Amino acid sequence: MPPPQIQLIDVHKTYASGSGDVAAIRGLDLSVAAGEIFGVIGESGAGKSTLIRLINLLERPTAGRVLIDAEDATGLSPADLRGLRRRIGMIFQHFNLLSSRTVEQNVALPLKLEGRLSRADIQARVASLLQRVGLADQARRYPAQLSGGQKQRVGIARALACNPKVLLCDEATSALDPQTTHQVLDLLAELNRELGLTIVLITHEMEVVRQICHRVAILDRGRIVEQGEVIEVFLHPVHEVTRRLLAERGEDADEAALAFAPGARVFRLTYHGAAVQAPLLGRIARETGVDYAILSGRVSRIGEQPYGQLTLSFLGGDVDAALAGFAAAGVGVQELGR
Amino acid sequence: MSGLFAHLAPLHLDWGEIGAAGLDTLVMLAGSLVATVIVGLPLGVILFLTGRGRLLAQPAAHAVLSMVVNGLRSVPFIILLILMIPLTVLLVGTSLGVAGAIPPLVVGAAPFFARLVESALREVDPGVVEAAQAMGATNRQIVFEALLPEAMPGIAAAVTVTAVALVSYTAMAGVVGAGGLGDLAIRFGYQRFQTDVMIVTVALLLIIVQALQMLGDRVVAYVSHR
Repeated sequence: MPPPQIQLIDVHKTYASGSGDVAAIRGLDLSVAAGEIFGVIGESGAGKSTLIRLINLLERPTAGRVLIDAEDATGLSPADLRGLRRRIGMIFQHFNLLSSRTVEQNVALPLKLEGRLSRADIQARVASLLQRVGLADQARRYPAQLSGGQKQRVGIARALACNPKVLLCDEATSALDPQTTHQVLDLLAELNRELGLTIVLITHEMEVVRQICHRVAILDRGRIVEQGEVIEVFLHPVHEVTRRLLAERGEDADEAALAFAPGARVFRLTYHGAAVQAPLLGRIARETGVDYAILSGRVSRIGEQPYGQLTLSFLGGDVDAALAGFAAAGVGVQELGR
Repeated sequence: MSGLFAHLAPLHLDWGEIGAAGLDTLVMLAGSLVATVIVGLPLGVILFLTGRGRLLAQPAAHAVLSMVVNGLRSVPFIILLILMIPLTVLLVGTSLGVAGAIPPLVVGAAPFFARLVESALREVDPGVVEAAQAMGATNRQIVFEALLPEAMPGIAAAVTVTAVALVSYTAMAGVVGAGGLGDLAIRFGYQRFQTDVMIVTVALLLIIVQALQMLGDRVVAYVSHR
């Protein structure tokens, strides 16, 4: 297995403030493989923006190591660090474009700073980048003349200018409306697929993680409290913070379901993959004599994966046999309210 | 009836003298404005960069610089003109005339201009600096490629304000015999009760200030893309 592209090892970040030190990141380990889209989600104040800035060393860790391609970035000379940063693109919540420069000048800036390409080569590269993000016709405009979604596309083109292997997204869609968010996320997923770009994004929106991330880590008060494949974490959240974040977007309807069926045994069935298409419920009900009522449910997708989640109350029949039947079919079963 | 008496005739303005004074004012203004920008712009950039939480945060150096700037700004210009005489002689060889007025004008205006530049730089979104850092920019590149271009509307406005302030400073430069419209207004309009000279010179100063402000506003609009 190749070494992870990004690896944080026991990283701490403490800020000195007037009233004593404030620990933003407290002993955090993280590893991101090349070519994956890794999401970090947390509530505000969890340390997300510090965490993403530790990766390109806009924030220096107080302790611990930051490895990029197995190389310790914390020990680099200022010149080498600048070289490293050219290999890591970054986009921002408020885009951080230069208002004094046109779209094409903004995208050209990293290339100009790098000073490697001729003016003609820079022009050609900028044109192809703007094509890539769908803004070829906006090259001569100023950022103030663009919509939020267009500004973020300029930000993406600028971040990609030096052909980075990694893209850091700092709440990149939080200032955008849902439809624009969707389009920008589609673009990021496309760049990930077509360029093999490794993407690390931080967000407070579960929806963003659900749409494009492969793996997710949940950050709470400077520590990662849970991480894994997005579908696993979404369908089987363990930590209280994860459940809370899921509940915010109505993923967690348990409380309401329990209220519908006082006294009955209520179960939540969670399944994905092949189980989504199988006619399980009816078969198991017939075989075990169990009758059921559907209290709540959804069938949807996480990334490319379909999944289903049903909350049922069981009445009569052999409940234990039914539960065993579900387990055998690969359905996660959790009894609620006990 | 010419010569001395011509100046006394209440309705006979000496346009030649007014023209010469106007030219003196413009030369003083142009010379001191250029020198003020050359001295004040780097000073303002350094004031900004050494400030707390900035790129080259140096609290001690910033405090000292800040004190010097405040000190110079608190000296009334008329007193600065006189205090500066030895230094002015050293710099331009004379403490008199238009040349003798320019060093005190610069010393009076540069700290003021530097503060305006500092505050224009503070208006620049820190996110832009962060983006430049994330691109792998050197500190020099951040200043020249990001901070200064982004602050350009503010800096253009600062140059305008400073130019207008310099016009009123030049009126005091008559103390060192620099001439100019303000000097004419004091010597003839006030001391010799030639109200018409007073009115004409003040009107000319007003036109100069108006023109500067209009020009400045146009430049600001031109460099502003917000």
